Amino acid sequence: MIIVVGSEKGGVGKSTVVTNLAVELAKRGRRVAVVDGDRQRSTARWAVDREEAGHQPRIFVVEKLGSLHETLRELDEGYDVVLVDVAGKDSKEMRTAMTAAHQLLVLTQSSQFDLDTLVTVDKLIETARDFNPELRVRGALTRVSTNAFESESADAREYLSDYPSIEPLRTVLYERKAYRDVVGEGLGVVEWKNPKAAREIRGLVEELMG
Amino acid sequence: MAIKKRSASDRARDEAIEAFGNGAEPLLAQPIVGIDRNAPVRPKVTPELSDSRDKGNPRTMLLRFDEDRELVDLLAVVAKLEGRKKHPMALRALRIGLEQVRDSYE
Repeated sequence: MIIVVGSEKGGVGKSTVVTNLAVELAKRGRRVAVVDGDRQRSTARWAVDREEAGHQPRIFVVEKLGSLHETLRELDEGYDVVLVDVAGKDSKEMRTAMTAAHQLLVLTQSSQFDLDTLVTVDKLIETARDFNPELRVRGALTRVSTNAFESESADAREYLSDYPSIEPLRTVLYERKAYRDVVGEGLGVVEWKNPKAAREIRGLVEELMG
Repeated sequence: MAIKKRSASDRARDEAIEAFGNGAEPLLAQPIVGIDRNAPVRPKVTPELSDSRDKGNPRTMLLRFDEDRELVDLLAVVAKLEGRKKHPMALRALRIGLEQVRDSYE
């Protein structure tokens, strides 16, 4: 299964989600490949840190820029799950990955600037489905404030409902220090000491693989 | 290694995917030429569109109260007085307030 984690805006936590999904899936015994299609190389750097620290399970990460369609199809034959990290903008990597993927996970923060980019994403989905009619698109909110008083999450869900091409996921990823702490260690939050963050990633995996 | 045979339709599809991919970031892909940086900047005239959303207006807006607890409490009180939920009450209050501000300029 090929899952592209994308967005039309940076800073939503794509690399964080990709690396954490990779760890959780690998711990469940899935053969996981990660494609880093972002010039920032965040995922690739995380993979180097993980390898140097000798953490298990090992995660196979490949860097590839430009057209990803063929690469993903080939990797899909050898791995159970292929996760794709692309830049936070409309890019060739995101577009071509969408033509090969089984799922596109659209991440967005619950802010006006982020949500307004969904108009562009929605148009891209429409075109990508001309090539890949089976593309399933799911949406998840990330970096949501843990302040229970704020209703941003509910407002953002209402906003997402304007886009029927994007199925909103129940799992919400909150702004937690644990996500930042594990990056430099080459770890995932499921290998860390914050059970709430670990629960979020497990929930996300359940929904994506279910 | 197995050698894949590609049919004409495969090639056409690959080319179409490549073209779709190349459609990303058109502004960055094209060199910027012929811009006179000293030319006066004129406001862009946007043609009238029927749907307000098409004009770039959002259909929803997230409001952050920050530290203004008084406003939060006031919204709760007024919503209760009017027998409305907070969201429709906030919209109604926003309309009344904006209309007052607009009228003050007429």
